[in-house]
Amino acid sequence: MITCPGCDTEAAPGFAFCPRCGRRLPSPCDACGFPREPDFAFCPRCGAARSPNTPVRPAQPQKPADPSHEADRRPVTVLFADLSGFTTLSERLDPEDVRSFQNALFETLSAAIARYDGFVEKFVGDAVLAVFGAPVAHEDDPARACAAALEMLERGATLSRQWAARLGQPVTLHVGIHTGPVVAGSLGGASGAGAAYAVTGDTVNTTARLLASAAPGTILVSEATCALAQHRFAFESAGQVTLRGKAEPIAVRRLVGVLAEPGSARGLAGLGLAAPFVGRKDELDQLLAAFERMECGQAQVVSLVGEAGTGKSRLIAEFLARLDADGRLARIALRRAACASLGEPTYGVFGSLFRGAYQVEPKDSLEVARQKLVSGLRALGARDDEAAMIAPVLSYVLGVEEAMHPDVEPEQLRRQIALAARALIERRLDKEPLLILVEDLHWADTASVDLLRQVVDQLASRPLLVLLSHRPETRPPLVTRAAQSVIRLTPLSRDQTRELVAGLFAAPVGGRLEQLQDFVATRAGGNPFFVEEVVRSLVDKGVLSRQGDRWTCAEASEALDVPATLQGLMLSRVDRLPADARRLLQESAVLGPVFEEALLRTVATTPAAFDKALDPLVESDLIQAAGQLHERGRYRFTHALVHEVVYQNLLLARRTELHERVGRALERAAGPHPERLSDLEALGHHWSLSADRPRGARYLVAAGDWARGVYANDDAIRHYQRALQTLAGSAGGEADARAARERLADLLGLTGRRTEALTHYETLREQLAADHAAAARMLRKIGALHWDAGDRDRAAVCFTDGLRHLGDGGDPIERAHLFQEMGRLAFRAGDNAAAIGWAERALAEATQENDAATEPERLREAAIMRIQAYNTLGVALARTGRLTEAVEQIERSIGLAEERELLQAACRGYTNLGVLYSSLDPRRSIETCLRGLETAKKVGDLGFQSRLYANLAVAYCALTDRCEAEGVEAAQAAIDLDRRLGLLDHLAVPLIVLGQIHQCNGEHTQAFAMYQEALGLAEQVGEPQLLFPCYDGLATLYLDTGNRRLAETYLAKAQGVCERAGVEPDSLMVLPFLY
Amino acid sequence: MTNNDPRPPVAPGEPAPDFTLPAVDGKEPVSLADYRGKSPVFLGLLIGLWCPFCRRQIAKMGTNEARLKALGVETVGVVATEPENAQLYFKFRPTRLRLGADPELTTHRLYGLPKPAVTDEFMKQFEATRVNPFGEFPEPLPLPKTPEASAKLDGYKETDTDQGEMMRQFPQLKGHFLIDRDGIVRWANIECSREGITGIGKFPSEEEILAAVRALPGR
Repeated sequence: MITCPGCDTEAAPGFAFCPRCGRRLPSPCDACGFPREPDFAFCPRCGAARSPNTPVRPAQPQKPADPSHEADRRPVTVLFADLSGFTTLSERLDPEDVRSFQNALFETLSAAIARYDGFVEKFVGDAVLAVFGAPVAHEDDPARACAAALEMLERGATLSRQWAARLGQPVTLHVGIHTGPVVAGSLGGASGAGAAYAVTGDTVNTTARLLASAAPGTILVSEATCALAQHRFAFESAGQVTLRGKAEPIAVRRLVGVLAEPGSARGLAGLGLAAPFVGRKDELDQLLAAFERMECGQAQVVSLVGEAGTGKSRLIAEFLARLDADGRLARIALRRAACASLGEPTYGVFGSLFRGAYQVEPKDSLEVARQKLVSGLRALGARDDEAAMIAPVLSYVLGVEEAMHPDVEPEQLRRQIALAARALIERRLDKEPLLILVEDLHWADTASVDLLRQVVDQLASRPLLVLLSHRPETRPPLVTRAAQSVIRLTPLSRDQTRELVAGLFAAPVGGRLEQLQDFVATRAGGNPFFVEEVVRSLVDKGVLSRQGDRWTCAEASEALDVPATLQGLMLSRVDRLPADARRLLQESAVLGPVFEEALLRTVATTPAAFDKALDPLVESDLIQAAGQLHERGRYRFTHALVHEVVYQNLLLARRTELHERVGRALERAAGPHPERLSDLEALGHHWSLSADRPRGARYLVAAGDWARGVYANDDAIRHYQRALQTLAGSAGGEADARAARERLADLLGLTGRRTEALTHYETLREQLAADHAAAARMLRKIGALHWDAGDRDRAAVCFTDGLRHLGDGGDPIERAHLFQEMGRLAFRAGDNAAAIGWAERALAEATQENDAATEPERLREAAIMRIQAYNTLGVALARTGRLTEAVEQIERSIGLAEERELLQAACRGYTNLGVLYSSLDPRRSIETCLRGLETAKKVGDLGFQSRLYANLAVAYCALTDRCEAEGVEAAQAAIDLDRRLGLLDHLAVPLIVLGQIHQCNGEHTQAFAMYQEALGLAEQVGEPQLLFPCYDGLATLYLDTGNRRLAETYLAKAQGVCERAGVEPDSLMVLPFLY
Repeated sequence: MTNNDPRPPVAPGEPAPDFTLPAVDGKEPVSLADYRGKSPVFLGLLIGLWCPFCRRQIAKMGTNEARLKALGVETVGVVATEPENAQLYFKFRPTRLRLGADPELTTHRLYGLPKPAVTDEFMKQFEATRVNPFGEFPEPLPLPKTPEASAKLDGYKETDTDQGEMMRQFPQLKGHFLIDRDGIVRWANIECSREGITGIGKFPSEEEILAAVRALPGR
């Protein structure tokens, strides 16, 4: 048994991790049994080297996991294995035999799992459940699981042979592997007795079902795992499997082996995209300078240091390509080794360097390998006695021979290996300069790193360049005599990142390149690998798609998940943190991608450890100071992706609790009546994710009101929508939800999203049936939307219904609203007398309310009503020829609107006044239209923008010589808006205007088409001011073509319209479109 | 078409050329000489009824007529439309204006109203008018050619004469003149002549006209 140094639990031999706290366990020395720390290459007691079969862990020691490991959510790869036919076996055999076989099996399987740093979650009977990615994540957990599974089958076959006689039958394993999210942590009391680290989630169930479908001797792997491991392993299709308890059959693959030539997990070559080499010019120059110094006979050690994905390999490739292009590469010998993330055996780095040098293949027989070594040594000019000394050591290092002669002392062995390595390198240097390239040194075994250092120092005056690439957590190996330099690869600047994104796509990206560049640059934070993975995930999600040579980009959404390829990588960095720091990082993630130190300090679980915990986060480059240099107090996550991963790592329950904690802290800071939008948004965000969601919704509504107040309509819509979502299904928030819904619908209607607005109003009308005033208000708003769509009958029914709901003693404001709407309807139907009557009634109610009310909201409403009623009064007066009075009313309307800063209500006034001025004062007419247009744009009211464009077109054409340019453009702008928004009520107007322009320019055919389309709409609406110009236009067109009969028909129709409406034709000619 | 009449427009201080035209109300011909020694005249030289904005201007002149009359000024208009067509139109739109019909634009030439030469360049510029002043569209749009136009042409057919009238007049500019009772032009407003200064220039505003009337010497 081995005692866990973290929690003193006794663990069975063969365990890599403590079953209770998840901490990595020491392993016994092969020679003397001393429990050796996992990262030691040699036994501290007897000095024996770790056997090559149990790899040394990465040089960087894993910080121990917290003993009371808090549960979290994380993506893991789950491996399930068991024996086919174990039940019959145990029925047949004596339990004691079964038990000892179980032990042997357990040892075999655990060894395979431990080798790849997996965690044995459970061992039941003949089945083992292993997890890769918890408690500690690696960037390649899916690949580790696949490697472990293959090794399990291999070892299982050996075991079967060994036990065949006693069991009376061969036994065969089968395996299922799947990757997905789980909750991981101690089950059964946080740290009490019986607590065990376990994973929970559907991912585990799915894996169990995959196992059940796997034939004996096979490994079934889900698509999810396969997608992340296929660069290293060979898979074949195993069709579709319907898993018990799952509705849809899922595609599965069979893992058949390791790829002979593993591809890179990186790059977008598969998508036909090639990343340009961006930035890094200085770094390349430094490498070339080191190369030159080496050529002059000074040994160089150069470390390329950078986080995963910063472009170390790419820089090396460019460096070699440059040397090759110059012909310098041909003059030197190049030896390269890439350390594997699965861990290198002792002297593994040297093993691969020499294997490359002598072309020793793993499949070579002992004799062939020896032959290659000896002839290689001879070729280097080694003397026979030298070769005789080196060859056996080399065989050992290369793994050609299993072990050295047992009589050789470990220390002696070490010295011999050093001697051999130095001799080999020296011989090579006699012939030509040597470039030794070791990539991913952070995964190298410590023995190799020590040896490398030693050899370089001994050969300090020789032309030797050792180029190492590694991550920042591994320190550059210190040399004393050779020249040493360190090149740190910092993140690309934002501009460089954008350049990289642009460079990926040789062909332009359907107009959205800028947006794509911003999106990717924000998420990837200057890391080229992240850039590629984000791009890849955009392709996978269909946001980026390819047609032939062209890529097109749909709207990129912030809601995209973190690419699966990056989750493990980033989580592994988080898992390396000490417990306090990790917890603080999670708390930061709840605050957001950018956060204030002061706020974090108030919400931190252990304030005492705050400063101690913050530093590692900065040192490990997970967060960095935001804002100005030296300005403490504000931090940001280095990558948006890291922030997301950490946040998703948190249990939902913990997120909820932390959001509430943040909400309270913000409330303390902002006081009882927060007024800043940023405070409201933050409070809304955090409370809506806490247990008190209605509180969050109230803040969101307040934020929405704030945004609406400055006409930031899209923001306001977003806040209201979020408030509604937050309140969905939460008891007690009904009234808040209704308020949010109505404001949302108002804004949706204003911005032309009429169908959505209608749906919300209808929902509210059902909910508010008992409240007469509210129901009347809904009817009024619904009616207005119908009117916009050209359905006046339905609008009139809604308004009349609303008035009936209210009765005579109803809310004066609401009554004023409905009178006003009726008045507007009457005006548009050509009944000016009725319009004046309704407007006067509206004005009376609003004035009464204005005098009686004290609440600001009621006063505001009363003002809006007066503004509207003056307007309606004005246009009706204008139509009946009382122009001066009309202008007076409308100027009063605008004056009141401006005084109260009610810009939206002012738009209507500007629209009408522009028309009225066209007779009185043409210059002011155009000015007024433009001013109105500016206001409508500021308010975001698209409907009035369209009306103002149309009136502006009339003004340009009737008053100025700029008809062809500005007039046509304004008319076309109005047509475009009306068509886009479906404002059939108004579309006839700009069509008529454009028709008139065409007619004036002699473009008869086009003028005719415009009038005809407008007439179709005008006849539906039945509005005199629309019908008249259509008839008039058509009549004059016929007049011009000499068709006097039809001309007369249409002139008569135009006259009929005027007679029915009781207006003068001249009034409709001079004041065309009033609202 | 070329600008074959290089006469500069009649300017204030110059005598107003006389003319006699058939009246659109079918009554007595309209003659400037009728007003000589009796009252000042506000004269509007417009183009054909095919221009909706000219039709609008006629309506406006109609509404202004009473106000000018109150100041002792008579209003006379000239439209460049065949007398029978004009008569049909004004049967339905009775106007108090004295209107003469002059499809040949003789009056316009007499008053030296410019008619810019229609060069290839002019037409190209005219047809290539692309619109996008407010940045609403992804790119400027040409004047729309409506595809469904041909399908809807029931009963509508362009004739040669129609095109002829339009082409003869195009791009005739319009002008307004205030003539005192002695037949001397006292104020003139020529379309396009002020383009680039104020931008407003197609038709004079009511206020402008009234101001000119008030400034008439010895009214």
